[in-house]
Amino acid sequence: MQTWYFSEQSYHPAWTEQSGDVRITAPSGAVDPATAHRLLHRYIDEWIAADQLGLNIMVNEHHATYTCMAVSCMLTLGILANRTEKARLLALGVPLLNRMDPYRIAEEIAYVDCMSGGRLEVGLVKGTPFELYLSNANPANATDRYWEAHELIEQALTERQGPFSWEGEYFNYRNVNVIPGS
Amino acid sequence: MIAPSHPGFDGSSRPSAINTVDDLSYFYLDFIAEHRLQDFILVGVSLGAWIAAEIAIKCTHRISGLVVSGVIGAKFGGPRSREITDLFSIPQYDHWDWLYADGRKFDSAAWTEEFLLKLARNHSTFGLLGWSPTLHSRKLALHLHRIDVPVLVLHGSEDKVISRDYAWQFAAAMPDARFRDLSGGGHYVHLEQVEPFMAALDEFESRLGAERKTRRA
Repeated sequence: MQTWYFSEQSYHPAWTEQSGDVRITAPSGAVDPATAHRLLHRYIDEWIAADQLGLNIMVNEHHATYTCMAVSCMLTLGILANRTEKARLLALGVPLLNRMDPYRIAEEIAYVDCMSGGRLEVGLVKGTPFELYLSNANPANATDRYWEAHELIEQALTERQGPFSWEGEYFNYRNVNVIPGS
Repeated sequence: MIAPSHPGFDGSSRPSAINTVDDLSYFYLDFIAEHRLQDFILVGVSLGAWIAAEIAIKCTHRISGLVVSGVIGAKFGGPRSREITDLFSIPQYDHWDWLYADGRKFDSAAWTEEFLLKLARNHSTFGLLGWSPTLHSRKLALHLHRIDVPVLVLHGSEDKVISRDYAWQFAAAMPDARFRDLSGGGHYVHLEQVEPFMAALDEFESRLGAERKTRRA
């Protein structure tokens, strides 16, 4: 049996302080940087302990919310790739609609996979609808844009023979060339 | 009078190649040429006014005059200014309060599924065209000077989508535009103050006719 340890890296002290919405329009002033610093270190330490206990690790990301301070799966996993040894590192997931640059996503995935010695697993998800109010990706063509980004990332992670060009409906690149490859 | 319903609205299909207001303006320029329309007044309201302005900056050869009301589509201020209310951040069921000044209510419980589907598709097309940048194009303000026919800019005094100052700046960016306040109406002043709105159109049409006679004489 495989088990994953998961935390959203919340800033829970603000849940009771804030009477309104805890997402999107919630002010960052309710987050004390010193407390956030302590919590973020605690979450990383928890995952390191999980690795030592033989558990796998799962991370996620959200944006502008007290419920999840992690703004990028690959930022968190970049730390954990270096500080854990055996755990499978699962990003569930990378919200493609919240990223304007899928090539950069492929690069970060390849970097973390390389750093972790091939322990990375990635889910490419669309993202929660209300976060389109942050990324500004157009909801009316979101699905088409998602699939183009998905295809580009797959090809970027598998092509090993040098750069290829991409001239799509939503994304344009002269050279897609991920180094280090995964 | 020709009153087109735009592709993707009111249940109509939308060709995939039409996904910006710029695309729509070329569609209508083709439509105007295809039907050999000549010497007519182009009238647009809200999103329609944006489309009309995008048509007119490209070519006015067949148009004798332009009337816009509740006009959106141009950006005059800096990056932290929002000159056009973000209708996508307001729940659709509250839109009426922003579009009408008279507080009219609609009984949505009485709407049929077919009608609701049309509303949803309208909103989807509206989002495709106006989501980002929010209800404007970065370039429109730069090109408004090209509209070399007489223009009438109408503004409802209770408009909550744009300010009077915004409508005034829009008018000032065109060489031959007149500005007219219509009191008591919101963004949809054409539906709330029908008679004053029609009277303003009639007056504009008469003015165009009189100017034409003067030119001939």
